Amino acid sequence: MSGIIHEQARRYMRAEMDGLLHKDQLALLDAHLRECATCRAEAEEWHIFETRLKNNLRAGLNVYDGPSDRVLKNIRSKTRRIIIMKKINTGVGILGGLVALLILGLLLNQLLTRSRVPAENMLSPTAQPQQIPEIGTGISNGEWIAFVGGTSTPVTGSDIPSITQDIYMVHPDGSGLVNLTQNQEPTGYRYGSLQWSPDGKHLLYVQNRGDGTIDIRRITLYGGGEVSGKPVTDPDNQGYAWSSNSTQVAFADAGSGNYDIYTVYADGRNDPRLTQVTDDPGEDVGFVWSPDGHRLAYQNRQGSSLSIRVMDADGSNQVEVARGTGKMRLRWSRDGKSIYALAQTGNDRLECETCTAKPSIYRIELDGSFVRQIAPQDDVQVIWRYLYEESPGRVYFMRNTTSADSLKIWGSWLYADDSQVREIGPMDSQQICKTTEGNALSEFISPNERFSLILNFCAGGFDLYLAERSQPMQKNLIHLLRLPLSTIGQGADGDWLPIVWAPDGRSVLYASEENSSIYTLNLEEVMQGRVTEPTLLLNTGEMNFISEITWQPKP
Amino acid sequence: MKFFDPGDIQSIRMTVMDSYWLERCQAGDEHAIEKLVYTHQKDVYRLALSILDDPDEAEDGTQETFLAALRALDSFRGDSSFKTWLFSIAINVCRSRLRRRSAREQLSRLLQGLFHPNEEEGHPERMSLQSAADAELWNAVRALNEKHRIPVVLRYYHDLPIADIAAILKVPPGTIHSRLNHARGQLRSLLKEEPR
Repeated sequence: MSGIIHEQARRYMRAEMDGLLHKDQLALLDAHLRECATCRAEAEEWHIFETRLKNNLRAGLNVYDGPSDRVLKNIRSKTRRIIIMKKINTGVGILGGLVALLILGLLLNQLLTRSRVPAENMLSPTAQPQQIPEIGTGISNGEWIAFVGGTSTPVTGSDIPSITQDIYMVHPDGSGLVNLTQNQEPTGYRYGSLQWSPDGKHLLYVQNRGDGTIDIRRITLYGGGEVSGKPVTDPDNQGYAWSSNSTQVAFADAGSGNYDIYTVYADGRNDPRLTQVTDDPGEDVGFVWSPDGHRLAYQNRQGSSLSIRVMDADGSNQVEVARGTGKMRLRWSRDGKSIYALAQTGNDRLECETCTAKPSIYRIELDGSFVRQIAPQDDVQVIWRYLYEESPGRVYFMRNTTSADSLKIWGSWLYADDSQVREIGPMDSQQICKTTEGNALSEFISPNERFSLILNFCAGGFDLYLAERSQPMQKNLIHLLRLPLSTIGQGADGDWLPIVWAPDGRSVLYASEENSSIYTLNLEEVMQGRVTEPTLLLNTGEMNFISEITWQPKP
Repeated sequence: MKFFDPGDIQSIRMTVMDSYWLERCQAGDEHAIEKLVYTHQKDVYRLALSILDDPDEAEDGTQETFLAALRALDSFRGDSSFKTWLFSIAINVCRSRLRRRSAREQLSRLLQGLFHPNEEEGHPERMSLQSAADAELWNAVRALNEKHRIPVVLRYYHDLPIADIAAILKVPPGTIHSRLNHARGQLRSLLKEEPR
C-alpha cells in the first residue's frame, strides 16, 4: 500500500476538488487510488457528483439570459447622473481650490510688492543649450522609447567586426528620433544597461570605454554627465539599480579586491555624494532597494556561506536577517516588512528552525528576522523565478528547470500563501511547440506583473504568446504572432529579441534584427481581433542592429 | 489536440480589456461604462439570482450592484480583478437584500396565515427553472444556507479558484474549503435516497 492511509486519501480527495492539492500530494493520492478499490470508487462518486452539480447549476442559471432591458436602461440613465454628479463634485473641488489659490496669490503679491528687488539688480537666468529633448518634462512620461542601435561592419582578416553604436530615443508613434550620444564620445564606445529612473526623469546607461573601463552615465534634462564619480570595474556584471524614489543608484565595484556596494545620487544634483556603503570581506552583491527607497537588502557571500543583510541607504544600521549557503535572488514585499529570497541553484539554502534542507523560496520577516520556507523542492535542478506578490504573503511564482543547453524549460507557475502552495499549471516549452525538439523559452513580465509574454523557438521560427500568470498556462495561452528566424540576430550566443512592454501594459515593442526596425503590437486591438499584424514603428535605415529597448516609465 | 478552451481565452481577454475600459470608465466615458456593464451583466445577474432565488429581485440587485460599483469606481485600485471586486459588491448588495427580505417575509407569512391560509407560493419563472433543470439537486442547492450556497455557486457555476472566492467573501481560503466540504456533504446526504 502507498504512503497514505484511507482517511488521509479522503482528505486529499476533498482538497483536490478545491484545487488545493500540491503536486506531491496528488501523486500520493493517485498511488493510493490505484491500490485501493474502495477509495477509487469513492473518488469516482465525488467526480460524478461534481460534474452533476456543475451541469445542474449551469442548466438552472443559464436559463436566465441576464437582466432585462429595463434594468440596463435604468443603469444607463442613472450612470449619466452619477457622471454629472462626479463632475460637479470635482468642479466644486477645483473651484474651491482656485478661490483658495486666488486668496493666497493676493496675499503673496502684497508680500512681494513690499520686498521687491529693483529690476536692475536682478540676474538674468543662464541660458543653457538644450542638447537633447526634455525627458520627463514638457510632455508626459511614457512618451519616449530609448534604444541602443548601430552598425556592425566586417573587418577583413579579423573575426571581430567594427562596431559603432549610439543611444537613441523616439516617441511611441515613431516620430522625433534623436541620437543622444552622437559626437559626444569617440567611436569604439559601447553602450548598454539602459535604465530609466522609476519617475521617468533620468535615463542611465553603462558606457564601456573600449579598454575595459566602465562608467555609469546619465542622460537627463539639459545634458548628461558621469554618475558613478569613478570608473567602475564591473557594474555590468553585478548590475546597478535605481532607488524606488528615483534619487540614488546602487552599484557594486570590485576595485578593492572584492565586491563592495556603493550608492550615489543620480538625480542630477550638484553633490552626488558617492558613498561606499559596505566594506566587508567577501562579496557584497545582489542588492535590492526597499519600496520606500531608504534601505537596501543585499547578500554577503564568502565561499559558499551566505549572509542576507539589510542596511540604510547610507550604509548605517547593517543587520543580518538570514544566513545560509549559495546565492539567492532577493525581492522586497510591497509593504517593505519582509524580503523574499529565491534559491537560484539546487544548492542554495537558508537556515531556519522549521526549514527542511531543500532549496525553495523563503520569506524573511524583518520584524524578528523570522524565516519561513515556501514551496521546498526535492529536485536540485530547480530554480525559482519571477515572483509576483499579489498582496502581502500571497505570491505567484515560477519554479523551473532548464536543460544544460538552455534550450528547454520545464516547470510550473505556482501560488502560495501562508496556508498552502498550489500548482497553477505546468509550463513546458514542449507543450507549446509540439513539432520540434529544442525550444528556448523566455518570459517577459508585464508592468503590473500579472501577465507574461512568452517567446518560444519552434519549428524554425519564434512564437510570441500572451498568458496570465495566475491561470494554468496550458489553458490560457494566446498566440500573438509568429516571427521568422531571421528576426533575431544570427543565432549566436546571447542573441535575443529586444522586447519591452509599454508602461501601461497595453502594447509591446520588439526590434527585428532582420531589417533593423522597431515594431509595436497593440495588445488591445489583438484581443479584440481588430489587428493581427504588428505595426512598423521605426525603420532605422543605416543601422544594422538594435540591442536594447526600454520605455520611459509612467509613474 | 485541443490546446485551450475558447472560454479561457475569453477570460484572459476580459482581464486585459478590463484595465483599459476601467480607466476610461473612471474618466467618465459613458460608452466605456456601458461596455463594462454589458460585459459583466450576465455574471452579476446570475450570481444575484443564485443568492436571492428570485428573478425580479435579482434584477434589482444587479442594478443596485452596478450603480454602487460606478459610484465607487474611483476607489478600485486593481488589487484584485475587476470581476472579483464587482462580485464582492454584488454579494454585499444581495446579503443586505436578504436581510430586508427576511424581515418582510416574517410579516408576509403572518399576514398570509391570517388572510390566505391555503394559498401556496409559486413563481412562474422559478417553475420553469425547476422543469428545465434537475429539480432535486437545484432545490438541494437552494436549501443550503447562504453561508454554504454562495461558495458552491462561485466554485461550481462561476468556476472561481478558492483564493478568489476567499477574496470576494473576505474570509480565509481554509474557511472556504471547509464550507465547500460541508456543502458537498450536505448536498450528497440530501440526494442519497434519490436514484441516479
